[in-house]
Amino acid sequence: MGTTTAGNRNSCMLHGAVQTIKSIEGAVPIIHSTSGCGVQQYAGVSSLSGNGGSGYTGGLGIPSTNFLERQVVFGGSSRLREQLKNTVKIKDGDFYVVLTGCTPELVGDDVPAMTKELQEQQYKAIHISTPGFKGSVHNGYTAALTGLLRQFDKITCTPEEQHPTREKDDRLVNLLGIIPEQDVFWRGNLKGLKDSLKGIGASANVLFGPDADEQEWTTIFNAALNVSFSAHSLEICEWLESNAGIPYVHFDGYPVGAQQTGELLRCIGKQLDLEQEKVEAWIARKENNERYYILQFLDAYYKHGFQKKFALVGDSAVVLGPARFLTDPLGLLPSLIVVTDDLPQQVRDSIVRQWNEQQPGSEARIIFESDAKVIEELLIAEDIELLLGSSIESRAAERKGIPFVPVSFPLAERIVLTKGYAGFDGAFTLLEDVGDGILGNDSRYLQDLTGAGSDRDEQGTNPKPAFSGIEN
Amino acid sequence: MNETRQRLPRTREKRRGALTAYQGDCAALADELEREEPRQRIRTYSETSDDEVIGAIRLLGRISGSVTIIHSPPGCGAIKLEDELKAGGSPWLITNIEENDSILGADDKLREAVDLAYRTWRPEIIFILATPVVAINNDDIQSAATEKEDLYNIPVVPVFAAGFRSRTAVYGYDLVFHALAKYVLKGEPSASPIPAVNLIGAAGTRTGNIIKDLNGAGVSYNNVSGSLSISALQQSLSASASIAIDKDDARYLLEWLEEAHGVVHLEETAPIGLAGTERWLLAAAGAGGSTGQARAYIQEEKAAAAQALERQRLDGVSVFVDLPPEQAFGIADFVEELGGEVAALSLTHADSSHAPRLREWARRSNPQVYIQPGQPFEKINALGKLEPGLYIGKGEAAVWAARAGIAAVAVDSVDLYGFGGVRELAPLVANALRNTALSRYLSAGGSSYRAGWLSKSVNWHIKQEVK
Repeated sequence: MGTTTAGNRNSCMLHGAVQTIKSIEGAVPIIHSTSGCGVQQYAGVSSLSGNGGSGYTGGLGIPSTNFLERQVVFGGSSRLREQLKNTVKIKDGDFYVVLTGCTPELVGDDVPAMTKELQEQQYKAIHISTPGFKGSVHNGYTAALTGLLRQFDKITCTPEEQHPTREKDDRLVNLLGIIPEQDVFWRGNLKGLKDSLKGIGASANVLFGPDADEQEWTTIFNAALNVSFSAHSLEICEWLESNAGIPYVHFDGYPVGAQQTGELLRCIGKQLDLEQEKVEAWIARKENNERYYILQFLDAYYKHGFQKKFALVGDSAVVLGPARFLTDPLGLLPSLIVVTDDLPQQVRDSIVRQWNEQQPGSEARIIFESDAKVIEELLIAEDIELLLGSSIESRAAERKGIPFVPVSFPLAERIVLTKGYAGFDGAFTLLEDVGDGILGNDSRYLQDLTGAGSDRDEQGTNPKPAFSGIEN
Repeated sequence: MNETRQRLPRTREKRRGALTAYQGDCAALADELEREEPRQRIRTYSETSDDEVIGAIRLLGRISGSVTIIHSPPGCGAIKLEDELKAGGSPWLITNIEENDSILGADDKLREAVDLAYRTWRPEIIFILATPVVAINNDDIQSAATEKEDLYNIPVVPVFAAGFRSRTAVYGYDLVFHALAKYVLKGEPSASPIPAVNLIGAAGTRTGNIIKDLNGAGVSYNNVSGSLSISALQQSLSASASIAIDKDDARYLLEWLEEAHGVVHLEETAPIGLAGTERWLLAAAGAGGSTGQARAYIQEEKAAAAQALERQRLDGVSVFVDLPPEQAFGIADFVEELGGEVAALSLTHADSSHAPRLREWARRSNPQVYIQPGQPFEKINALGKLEPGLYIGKGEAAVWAARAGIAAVAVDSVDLYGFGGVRELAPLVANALRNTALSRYLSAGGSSYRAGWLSKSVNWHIKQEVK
């Protein structure tokens, strides 16, 4: 973050926090900022996350103080006090989270004091500082979760909840790092991981979305292990380790398919001291399952030439697992992986090192870049036959006349509800989507041959202007 | 207009007494807006809604040959990403202001962004959009713009949005038109006016249907709608008159063209419905064509459309219309043409320019009128009390009406205007009533609003502002 970018896909800290909080059942985010901040999150993030919608409490229904000039001049604390007092009377929720945007942070409103007033009235309410200028949407996820954990006692007010039994459940893990909405397939991915863990006798707190069971937030401190799938969840894991004694394991991205999910389960099994035979039996069963489906798909693989050189663009948590699965076992040829989230240099180095260890001999380049124009130039120059990325990259695929598979944020032209690529079964969804991309491109090619309407020229390129007007 | 000498245009509140919170009937609101200074109201509880930054971003996205630099932290560009991907908006950069920049200023970063924009796209014009952080830390956008304009010899235009100056999102359009008037449209109009009427549309106005009608009616027009070009804007100074598809959105440009260049604007209501389209086309033809040809065209189109409408009647159905004012009034007229009854009008804002329309409605059925930019909590409350048979609005609000158990129509997917609009809108409305299963299903799912709130009056949280 911090540098000028074209076609920026990483929104701000406030938006990351809003989408994180509103994805928790029973949580009500309250935005303390200008009126447009909530709409920007709704239209510019939710609706571009596979056309995500208002849901129970999002969209235009998010409480917001709608800062005005007089609050800039005189301070917005009293307006916030009024908003808080009325929100609890109007919006149904288990707890309330005040999220501050840029304007009140610059003005210096005393938000903690206003939130404390609500707490003193026995409402479960906390405040998290999330000005947009302090970070990206990913940092918003981190800030929201660490903020919730640090103030956990404030959102669990009943006597037994105030002193929750923190007895460890030695089979319970918290899954962290899959960011609601920034990961377009977040619901499906969390479900895929949860289902994958069931077979080894472990249970998972996914914490967000419809697959989070009612008691998950009350048992978050009881977990025996945290599993991090993104660099953006490391801070949360470290906090839980130092404050709740919960160790963690970290993976660069969620696992896709039997091989990667098997590695994850073996690691979790070891950490939780689970019965090794049971773990291996479950993995073996799922490997057989995967083999069955790959055999079913094999004819199409060869008939339609699936073994293509590919590029993949998206968040680190989203691209690395699919890239590995397509490379091994599927045998596709990774050429370029563009990681679009902002990561510290040591994390970047670690991702490259891990990739090279896992895929020895791979010729793939891993580039860390978020500028849509730079990425498009890289893709146009790259010798690839398949592109996986966001709606932004679809234009590059169109220009090159190659199959495109939408896998990352922003995703404007698809509806995504339950789909996910993570875990054992997620691999099949990825196969289906890659298949649709390749077969769909083949059918367009056939239409071209029969003259059934296309504006491609004889080189197969497309004369339409590229994203943000980049010309050949 | 002396206002172009100012850095900022006056807000709609100051210019026309715009209100963004109200409940009453049409007569009472008309009385209020006809006062010299309507009493401003505030909400003691509010929900997110469009602001001037969003309005400006949407309009800037429609200006062809332009690049917009959003000078802000990353979140203020989110809506631009949506605009680009879903509406094909113009290229853009964002400076991604971070904490240090918010303290020390980010002028240098802005200058580099202008260089990058010029090198990359060679645009006709570069806009620099200020945002809340910049408005507070007071970055010197103006000198960066002037410096780069001299360097590249293209207009580099600052648009001073703040996100907190006005409660109306349409003020964002005013900011863009003000900037164009101040910095770009400086040339003198040609000596003899061009025999054409300016067709003006702002960010959200679809133009396909109305352009078809203008062509059919033989009206000569200068197209300042859809994808706005600087050359069409420049040419607009020499037109014989201006007519807007939605004069509320285009208000600033219409008035500036008239006051600064003598291009009269036709105060015609939006071309929605049969009568509305007829009135609008005749007015346009009077200024840019022949009314004879227009009348012949209108008769033919009206007859065809009226025949189609026979099968799409709304007889006796009460309708809650929830849209920006010009669209709301047009759709409400159309509801009556279909035999329906307007249960209430919900407007994003209302100002003195809307008083005549409100007065007209006061003389007809004097329905309830709410002013609710967004604010689903008030809409759901009002819908629960009025229990209309149908809701017509935009998708983002229609979802809340459907959840309240009301059959809902969202107009986002159709081009509302002209005779084509009549043909598109009527079946949409009829279909919503033909199968109301979804709203019935949704109403069983409970609400995110507490019962205590829903039992209160709709305007419980609307208070008169204390100055």
